[in-house]
Amino acid sequence: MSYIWKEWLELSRGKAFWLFFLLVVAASLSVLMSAKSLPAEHGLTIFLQMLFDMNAYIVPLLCLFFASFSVMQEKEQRTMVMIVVKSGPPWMFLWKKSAAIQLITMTVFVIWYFVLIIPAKFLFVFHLSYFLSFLLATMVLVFIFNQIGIWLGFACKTKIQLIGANLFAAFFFIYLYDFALLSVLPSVTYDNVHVFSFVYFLQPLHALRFYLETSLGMFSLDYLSRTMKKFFSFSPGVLVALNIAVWGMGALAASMLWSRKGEER
Amino acid sequence: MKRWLLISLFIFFFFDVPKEAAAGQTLQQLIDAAPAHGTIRLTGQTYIGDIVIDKPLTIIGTKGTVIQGSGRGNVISIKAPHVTITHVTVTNSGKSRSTQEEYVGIKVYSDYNTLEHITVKQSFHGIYLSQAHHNRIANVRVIGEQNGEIAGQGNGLHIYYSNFNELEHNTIIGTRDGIFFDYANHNVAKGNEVSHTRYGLHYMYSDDNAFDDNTFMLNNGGAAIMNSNRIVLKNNRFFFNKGMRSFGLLLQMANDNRIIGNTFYQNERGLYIDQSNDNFLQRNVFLQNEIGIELWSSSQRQTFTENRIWKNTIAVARLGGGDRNRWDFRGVGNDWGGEAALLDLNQDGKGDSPFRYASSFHKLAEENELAYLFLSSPSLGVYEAINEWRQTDEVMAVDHAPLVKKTISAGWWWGLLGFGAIAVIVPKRRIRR
Repeated sequence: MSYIWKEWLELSRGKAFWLFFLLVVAASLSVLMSAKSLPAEHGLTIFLQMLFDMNAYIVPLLCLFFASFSVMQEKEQRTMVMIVVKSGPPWMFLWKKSAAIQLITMTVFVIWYFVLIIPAKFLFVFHLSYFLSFLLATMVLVFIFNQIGIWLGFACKTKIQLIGANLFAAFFFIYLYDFALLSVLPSVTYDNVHVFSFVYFLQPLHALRFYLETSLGMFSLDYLSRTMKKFFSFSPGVLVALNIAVWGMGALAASMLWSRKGEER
Repeated sequence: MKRWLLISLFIFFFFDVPKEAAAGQTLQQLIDAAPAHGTIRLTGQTYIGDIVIDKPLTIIGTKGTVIQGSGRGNVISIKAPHVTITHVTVTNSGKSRSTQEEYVGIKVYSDYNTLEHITVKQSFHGIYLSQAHHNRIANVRVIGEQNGEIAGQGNGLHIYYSNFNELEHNTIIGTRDGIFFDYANHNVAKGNEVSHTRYGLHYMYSDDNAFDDNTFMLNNGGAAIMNSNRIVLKNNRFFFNKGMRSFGLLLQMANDNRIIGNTFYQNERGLYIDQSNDNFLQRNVFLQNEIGIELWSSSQRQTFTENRIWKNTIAVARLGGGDRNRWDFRGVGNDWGGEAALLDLNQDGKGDSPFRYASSFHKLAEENELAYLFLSSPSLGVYEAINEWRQTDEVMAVDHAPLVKKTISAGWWWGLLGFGAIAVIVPKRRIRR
């Protein structure tokens, strides 16, 4: 509990997170303004999808920077050494730090989206399941990129390194991953499309968008070719769980290994 | 006495005859008993359906009036002309696919009928016009099964061998096709809203129809014009028709159609043209679609003029061969927005040089249909930029008279403001030092 309180105090007193979060707020409001003229019956579906599309670019950056700098700050101010000495091995610190960061960022996002949904509820016909699907998709996004940020925070030694690593991580997920997939596209056939599908959806932004669009009933999977049918044969829920396991838990495991290395040194 | 009371109560609770049945019988009897051109006013209760109207008649319902079918046939069959039905809810037609006939909420076999303010639910087709002409269907709401198997669903409005009908301000949700025209000519569809269907509007072998001011959202395809000619589409809205095979409007083997003033916003493909010739597109807006216009080489001689083709991931994808379409008409081209950096030194609102829209996406799409997966990915922009730099992209469209907006865009204003702010701040800092 003290970790969470400490994390909250650091976050609430720092300006960087709020400035970045203000960007999320402003962008969300602009999406709401542009969606308000949509027919009430379908407005919520489209609003949530547009909001997620916007989140897909802003949230990863925010989470990467906030989580990684939170760890870096502990290292730079030498509070990490004190906490580790006081309360146990580094992995215990990592575990508590991760929990605190996740809880606080998720709470801030959830509160904001509950506030945002109030005017949306007056504008559109409200479907709770749609809203919950959107929240889940966004929270998974927050979780994965927070966890990657924490790992980068542990792995980098200087702030400059960390900024570079964060930018590379964002660039990797937004550009490089798809660019690599595009380059292998000519060699994808019906026989190996399952493997390609697996790799394609291992990109959290693809998997979460697929999950959300199918949950909202926006993405039609009717009348697909044989290849496409095979491509979309994974369940969206399974793909989301896979991404949580690979990126979220993978980053956590990598951070633990890193912290043990530090312990050995 | 007590024993009789108990027996009466037992009979009342266990052998109670439904009120609907009594009312239903009354409805057919009322119809049979009513004079031709008479009016029947229904109360807010449930009537048993599978009724047949064989004389000119007006049936007016009220709030809570439901006509419930047996689930084995058509709920209402109209076999006489000049029948008007308003303010009723029609439910539970037959849904079997192994019968000779596809059942419907309301089946119309005659001319000059009016169906208004009607809701059709739990039925295979909503309303079916069979060789019925000059009918008016307005403010009807058809609610389909939505997430059910597509083959197991009927159409919202099915117009079969029927001409000169007016379909206005209807709302159709979750059926197979919203409005399906099959060998139906000279019909007008106006102000309808169709969502969560396979195709919002579907024309097959239907010529000389018009559809205006309709909205198609969240369908597999907004409207599909197949094997149909000379249709006029004006001021329709095709929004958010997403999915791997989705489109706002499909023209397939459709010729000489006029597509004017429509808006295509955030669709997988705004317009999809295949094996279609001589279509005329004017003053349409193609905004933020994954592909603005997808043209297959089997299509020729389309004319595009005064269209606004803005902010689509791929403005024009031409697949399978050369361009045999016209991107300007009588010296007026299209507004390509940010795609085209054009000079207009003589200020006549047209670019001083032709605009060539080039792209390399078509190569990916021709090689592998999975390329469409990357339309929403920013990496596709990088791929396009690299191919442009390597000069391996191909010209998709040549507009000889591209339109240039005379006003300064918002981007310029922000740029000017930013420049102004820097100009103010920097000298102040220098002064402080």
